[in-house]
Amino acid sequence: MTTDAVSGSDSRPPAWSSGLSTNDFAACGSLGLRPLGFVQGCSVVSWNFYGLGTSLMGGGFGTNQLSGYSEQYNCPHGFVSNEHRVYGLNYQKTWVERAWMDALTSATKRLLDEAVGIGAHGVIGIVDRSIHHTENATFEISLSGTAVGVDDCERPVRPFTTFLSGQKLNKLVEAGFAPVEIALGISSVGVISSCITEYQLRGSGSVFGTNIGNWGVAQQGEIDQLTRAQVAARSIVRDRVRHQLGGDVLHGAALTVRTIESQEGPQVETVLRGNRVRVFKEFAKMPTPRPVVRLVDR
Amino acid sequence: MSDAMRADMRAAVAALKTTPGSDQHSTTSDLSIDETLLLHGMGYEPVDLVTGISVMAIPYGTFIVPYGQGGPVELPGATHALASAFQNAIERMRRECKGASGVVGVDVEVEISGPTAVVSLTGTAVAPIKRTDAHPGRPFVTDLSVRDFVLLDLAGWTPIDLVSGAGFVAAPIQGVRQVLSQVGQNIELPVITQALQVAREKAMDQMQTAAIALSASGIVDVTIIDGPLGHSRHVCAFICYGTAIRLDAAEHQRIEPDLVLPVDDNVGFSAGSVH
Repeated sequence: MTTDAVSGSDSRPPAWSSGLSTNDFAACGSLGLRPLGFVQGCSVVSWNFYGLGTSLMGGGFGTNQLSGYSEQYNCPHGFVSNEHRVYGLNYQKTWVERAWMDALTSATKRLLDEAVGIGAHGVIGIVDRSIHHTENATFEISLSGTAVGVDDCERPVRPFTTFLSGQKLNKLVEAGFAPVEIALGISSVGVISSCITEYQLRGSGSVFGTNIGNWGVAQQGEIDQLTRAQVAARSIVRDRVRHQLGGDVLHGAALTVRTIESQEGPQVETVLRGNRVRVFKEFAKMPTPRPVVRLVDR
Repeated sequence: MSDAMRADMRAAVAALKTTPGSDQHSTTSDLSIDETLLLHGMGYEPVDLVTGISVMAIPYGTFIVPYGQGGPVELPGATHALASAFQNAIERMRRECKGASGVVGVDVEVEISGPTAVVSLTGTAVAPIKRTDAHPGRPFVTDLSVRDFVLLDLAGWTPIDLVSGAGFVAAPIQGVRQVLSQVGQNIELPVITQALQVAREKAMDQMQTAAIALSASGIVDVTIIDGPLGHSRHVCAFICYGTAIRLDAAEHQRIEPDLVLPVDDNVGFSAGSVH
């Protein structure tokens, strides 16, 4: 250790940490990216599945009204019994989506604040995690990645972010796409099954515990209410992410769908994540690829 | 090479200062950069991430088979539900194409629970580069990867559609004497074997019929899901799907691949195990 280092006046740059693999690190070097540090951002929010104070029917004791997508499925049979559902409902759980998006925004801001603090041009190799704490009541979103600097280049106002790193990032840039930011969106659609959906799912309707047949509903066929909920959930999340793009391109998207069974009916949650990228040079016409056979034993 | 890449990276960072026009159409895709480049080499570009889903009801009691059946019992209710789920999901995905030529790399998820059959599809719609007019024909749907799609094209073939088949067959409940005669013996269980065979034939036949209806020459990349149903172990399910293809060129184009010999350390040679 030099005397300068002990006294704290060493002129060498301080050591950095990174989440890059050795391969990724080597590949980023060829793009002129210098790792500056491992940066993170997280946010933990309270997670209310049904949304406290939300009135599904737009009245009663709730303070929040339904907004966004909703479809009501009225019972065609008229009032039959207390057990018979008078209506069914597909509804967008905007309070769940808002909590998730707020957590994501906060986590992203914290990640970027750390990156800006160490003079980064961007953050690469981002890993996002969503964790439910304590029986689903608390929810955490965390992002981590490697802040990088680009030599001889003015820093952008907001550092770029991307899930990519290594050779994939190299190929992206070579192909003429600039990483802009990670794009993430969620949609949450709840289903309160109508009497018809209930019948299609369970094969019977009941009055005072007595099965009285099929209510005139053909059981075979598409379950319209559930299909429409699934279609809506996918459509909402794609529109949400498209809205973030502003004319850019979403690359390498991954759509995750989770259907949670509950007493009322299924709850559909979809998450769409990908890389928002911008075309910065003309995409050169690629030559027709040549097929190859690798001479290997196995 | 590295200097050119560094210059590209600097240009990429500089491009962050500009924003594309708000009227610019945003494209979305689940393709990797390799797949995007391959597709581009073929004259296509990704247009949009598209999905299709269908939730079908399987009639109550479908999986209950009365005692005393002599042989395997086909369950047309379940078979029909899954076939319709496939058809509906594919049609929904096609409707989302909006002028694209077709959908590639479709990820297929099939789920059979007690009362429902769910088919969920996700893929990327593609169109010829910079084409503004809508595709004149019916967009194709294929679960082939971009790599397979390109290879098929080089060979002169074109995908037509995703075709599927399903068979649900219940093995008859065995009598006590029959069960006791099998206890402790490693022997073939003919009723279950037969049920699986019938389910297989039915499913493959359905898939083949669907391909013939599309005037396809054949089906490639067939995926098979088979085995007993989780909630009704006496029911053998056989589900298959693949891409129906047709020869577009006058004849099959022979592909003559270049031979490459990788010289990296981890390929083709294993040291350290001397016998």
